[in-house]
Amino acid sequence: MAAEAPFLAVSEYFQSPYGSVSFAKKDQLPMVKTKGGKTVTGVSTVARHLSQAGTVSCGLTLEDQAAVDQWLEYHVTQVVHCGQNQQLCTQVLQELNNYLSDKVYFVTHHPTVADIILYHGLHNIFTKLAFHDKEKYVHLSRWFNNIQQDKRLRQSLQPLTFSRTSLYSS
Amino acid sequence: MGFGDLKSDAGLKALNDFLADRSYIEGYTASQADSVVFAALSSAPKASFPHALRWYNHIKSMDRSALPGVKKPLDSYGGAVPAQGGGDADDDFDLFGSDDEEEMDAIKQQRIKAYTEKKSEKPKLIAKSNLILEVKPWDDETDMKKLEECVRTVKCDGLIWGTSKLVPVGYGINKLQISCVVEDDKVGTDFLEEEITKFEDFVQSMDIVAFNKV
Repeated sequence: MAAEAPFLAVSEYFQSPYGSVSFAKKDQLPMVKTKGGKTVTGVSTVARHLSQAGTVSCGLTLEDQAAVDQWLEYHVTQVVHCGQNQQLCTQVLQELNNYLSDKVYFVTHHPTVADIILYHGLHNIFTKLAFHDKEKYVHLSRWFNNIQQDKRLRQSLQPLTFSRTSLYSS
Repeated sequence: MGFGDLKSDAGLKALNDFLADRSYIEGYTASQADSVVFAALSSAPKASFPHALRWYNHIKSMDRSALPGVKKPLDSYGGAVPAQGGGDADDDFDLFGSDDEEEMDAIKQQRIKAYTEKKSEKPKLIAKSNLILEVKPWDDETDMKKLEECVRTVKCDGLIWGTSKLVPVGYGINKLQISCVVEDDKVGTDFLEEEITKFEDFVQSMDIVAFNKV
């Protein structure tokens, strides 16, 4: 199931138990039961929980953690709506591209849960882009291509092809 | 192969272009390849090389001695970036067996010249078309001679009238078939139609029967 993929990726990457994640029937909201017996719902909360429950420590400072949270929020408020709104889609791609112009990963110098969730959110958009469009967002494409090489992060998604040709250079 | 002298702007530019769509020098994780190239840089690249600078900052954040992989000579990294000066290393890749680069260049220049000459000649060829028009009169009382005269009065640059004949339609009515040669760039069919149908007294309608490129 497609909705599971990002959480599978997060849980595998941070080696946290995936078993307890389930999806609400009505609106497909993910839920997870914590060790304390509580239930948390919502994409970013579940993703965050999975990233912290794992045995792999992310070693984030408080500032980094805040930045990660902000990107998760960006995913929930902006990226997920891109499918229906072409104008928003271009704006989001442009924004992310500008942001990544001097960075390799969204936060810090290694993949974080923000990279994983955004990769899964953007995969749908990227499959529809033509080669020259991908080339237009060269920073975002570079990041995307880099992330998708890790099989743990990619899960069931298809790897996309990127190519920089001189044909389109203008 | 190689980026050339990484302390010069040309080398940095090669590195910058190479890193535009890559995060690391080799593969998709940091490795000794990054470490080798990093060590070859004297300082952080200028802001005018954004891709190189981004990579530099990223690698700087890591413990470079602990990266995986094996160190290779600096020149073995980088894609097929055109070597600027000192391009001795690409002898092995010369598929065409010509060792004389100057000769190759000369041949290339010659071909480019020949091509541009050929291209510049092309527009001199004027595209012409052979048209056959059909002009229909109102009724059997229309003076066909007069009609033909009227049609032939249409004159413009690039238009030459040819032979004509009357073709019977029925009930004593004839239509006029007339051929002409036009230069495509100067005369349009719309223009012809407009001009001919101006003779309202004689012409009921006008059609283009045939349109052949000459």
